Amino acid sequence: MSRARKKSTARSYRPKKMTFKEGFYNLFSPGKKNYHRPQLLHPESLMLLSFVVLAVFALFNAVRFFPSLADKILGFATNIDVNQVLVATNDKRTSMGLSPLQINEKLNQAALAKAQHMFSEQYWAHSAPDGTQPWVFIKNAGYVYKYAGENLARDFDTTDEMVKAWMNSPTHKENIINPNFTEIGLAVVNGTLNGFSTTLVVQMFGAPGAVELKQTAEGRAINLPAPANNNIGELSAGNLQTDVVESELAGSDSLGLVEGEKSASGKILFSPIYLTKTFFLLIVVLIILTLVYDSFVSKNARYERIVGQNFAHIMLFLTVGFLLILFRGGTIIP
Amino acid sequence: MPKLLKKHRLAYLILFLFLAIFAYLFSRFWIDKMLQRYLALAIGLGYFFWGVLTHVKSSKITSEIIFEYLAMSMLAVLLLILITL
Repeated sequence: MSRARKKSTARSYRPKKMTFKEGFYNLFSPGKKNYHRPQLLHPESLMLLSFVVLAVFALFNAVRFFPSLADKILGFATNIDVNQVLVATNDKRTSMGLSPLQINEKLNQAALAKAQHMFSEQYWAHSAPDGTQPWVFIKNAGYVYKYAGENLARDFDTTDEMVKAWMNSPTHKENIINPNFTEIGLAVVNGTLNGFSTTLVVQMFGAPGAVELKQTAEGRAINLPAPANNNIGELSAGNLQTDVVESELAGSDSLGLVEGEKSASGKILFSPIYLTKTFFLLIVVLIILTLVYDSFVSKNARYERIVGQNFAHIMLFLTVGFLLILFRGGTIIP
Repeated sequence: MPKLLKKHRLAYLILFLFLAIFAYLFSRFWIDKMLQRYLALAIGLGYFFWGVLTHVKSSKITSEIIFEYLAMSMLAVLLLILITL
């Protein structure tokens, strides 16, 4: 009898297990068990949610450290297409009454060499850490210029977004609509930069002629001294350890684009940026819906409670959601 | 809700303007990811202080409320910073 009583007492101290339905209501609906505030909106739950967000983000990005897996599953290569880059660039020029740029084989090679150099030396800049200027690649390709310029971009998902970013930057726009330039070289190259699979895009602009040079990426005209030695062999393909993907561009031959350029059109399963955006938006929607439901229930039930202002929280997360929707990936060098 | 809005009209107007300006700047500088991260941090801090000050003014402040605003701000900042990485 006494044993039975003891057992019964012990059982009564054990916390009651919630059914799935109870747990669901506890998480999203205000009630007695959660102090009339959905459990999701309690500070400790929000902190936990922040850790979940961090963990999922880390998981998405961990795939980047396995390039082969990333290419197969997430497709970290972008939908940048060299044909489209050329067309979009020339569209901007012709809309301003300028002549379209012609593809130049040597400038293509210079652009490819620059992209490969960035991967092999692991940098992301107009000038290499060893001081190599963009013009060196142009000279090494055998292109004699009067004016030259360079635009760089990385991590963009589409050509349109990338060209839009360039046009939003005064210095890059100046290159695109510079009337002095008559020729262009393009390279879209996949590789690993600082441990991350990425896609680099290089535009090399030129005007054939004498020695005078214009560094238009910075918007200033400067005269660079001619290099004492042009080590053309220095940047040969054999010296580079770049993860360059074979050309897959259907019309590349007609444009004279060099090997190593890459267009991954139609191959991308999931873009990491869209995957992250979708997950983050789900979190934002979940919080907004919980806040709205909490406001509705607490108003009808006339709960007396001291909590944060739901309307302010909704405003904050609507702003975050709006910015997540509008957010565009990709980087250019100012 | 309209009663609450009327009661804290000025506070909500300030918050609305703050969020609108932030959203504009965040979109305007979409190429500069570093600046976007600073802006995200600014919105988090701004929102936290707005929440605490509003409650202090209405004399309804508890540690729970402070933690709630802190957690909400942290989550918002985290989402915005991570998307720029």
